[in-house]
Amino acid sequence: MTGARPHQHDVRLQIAGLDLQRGFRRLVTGFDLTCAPGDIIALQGPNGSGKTTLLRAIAGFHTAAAGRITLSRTQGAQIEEAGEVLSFLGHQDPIKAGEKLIDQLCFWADLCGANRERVRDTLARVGLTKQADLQGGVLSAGQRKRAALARLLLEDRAIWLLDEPASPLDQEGRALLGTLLDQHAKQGGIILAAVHDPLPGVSARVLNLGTVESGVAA
Amino acid sequence: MSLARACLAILTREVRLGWGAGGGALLSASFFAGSVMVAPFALGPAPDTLGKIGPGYLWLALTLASLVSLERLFQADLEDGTLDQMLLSPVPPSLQVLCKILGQWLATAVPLLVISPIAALLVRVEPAVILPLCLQLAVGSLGLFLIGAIGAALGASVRRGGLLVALVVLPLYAPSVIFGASAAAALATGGDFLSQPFLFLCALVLAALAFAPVAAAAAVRLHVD
Repeated sequence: MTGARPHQHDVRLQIAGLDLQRGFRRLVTGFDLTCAPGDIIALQGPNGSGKTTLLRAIAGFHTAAAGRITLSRTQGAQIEEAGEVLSFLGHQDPIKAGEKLIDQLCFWADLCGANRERVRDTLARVGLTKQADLQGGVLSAGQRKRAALARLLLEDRAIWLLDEPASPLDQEGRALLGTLLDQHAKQGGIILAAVHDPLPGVSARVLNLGTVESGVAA
Repeated sequence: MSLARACLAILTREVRLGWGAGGGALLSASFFAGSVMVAPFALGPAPDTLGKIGPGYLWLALTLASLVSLERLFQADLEDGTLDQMLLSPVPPSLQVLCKILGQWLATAVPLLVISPIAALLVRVEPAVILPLCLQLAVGSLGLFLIGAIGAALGASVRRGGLLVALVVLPLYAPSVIFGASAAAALATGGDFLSQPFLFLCALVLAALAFAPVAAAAAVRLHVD
């Protein structure tokens, strides 16, 4: 599981009748979604339409007002915790200012049980080889996002929940993101991304929040 | 195996971040040293008064110094999204919280305890009593950090939440301080190291070791929503 050899993910995500609420504001009502391995879904919608809340609900951080989110595997053990099969990339980057980048990624590798030897390779994949020994505080916003992507690759989970993944990335970074998304989908991974611009390099199913079809009162 | 590796990683990272740039691991120790240093000026250097107050004063200084480091225990992780990621990891949240507290204790309380014998000399504690007294402070500080973590977790999402954390935590500190100071007073009057108040303090620390991580993890979970 921790090897570098690509393997196939086979996790399915099913959302039925989901209601999401922030305070007294109902963001999403009766939301349904089924994702099979290889699906790429771009969540679009105006600011405040509940894209982030939906991602956080799937990750298990936010408790939905109603509805059911089911993660299932066709073979192997039952999924007990969402964290077993999904990675979350939020709009904050969990990068500490006073720690070397390489140490931070080694920490994430330890935490999710990935092989430490993969850390340098993964940093190379996201183009951060030169920055490996820099302190987190000196990284630019784009470099921090690349580091977060490296964490995603280390964790090697089936479902990627991405909140505005492309926003601080440069052209080259967006191309890289496209490649990573494409590879992940080809391995049977599921990608749900909250975006304002189309996802780079891949064709995604677009889902609009904040419209009548999605059951959202604008 | 991988659980032990993850726990060790959390613990060592907490120490590394504490001692790294802007970590503030020495804040508690310097607060402790400062408050002990002004004691002879404020209370008068006379051996009979200061010697009597000294052991209890060390407990007072320890209690307040441990509050200083609490505010940031979970707040930094909540702000930069580290907590989200930690909740997704396969390690149970209460275990992660326990490792974080132990790491914080190693980074923050150990320097404080290292200087505590000198602090004890400054407040005129009998030289023969200094070592057992400092050992009791060490046990007590672990309890204070564990209990304090509950307050730190509750106040994590409050900006400048130090006041709130102190308000939540100080009443919870009371039993530990009462038993700790009584144990110190017993030592100063020629009592045993394993006096009854100290055994009560040990029991409190053990109970905190069992319950505080669970309570703090539940409180942290609230902020992530």
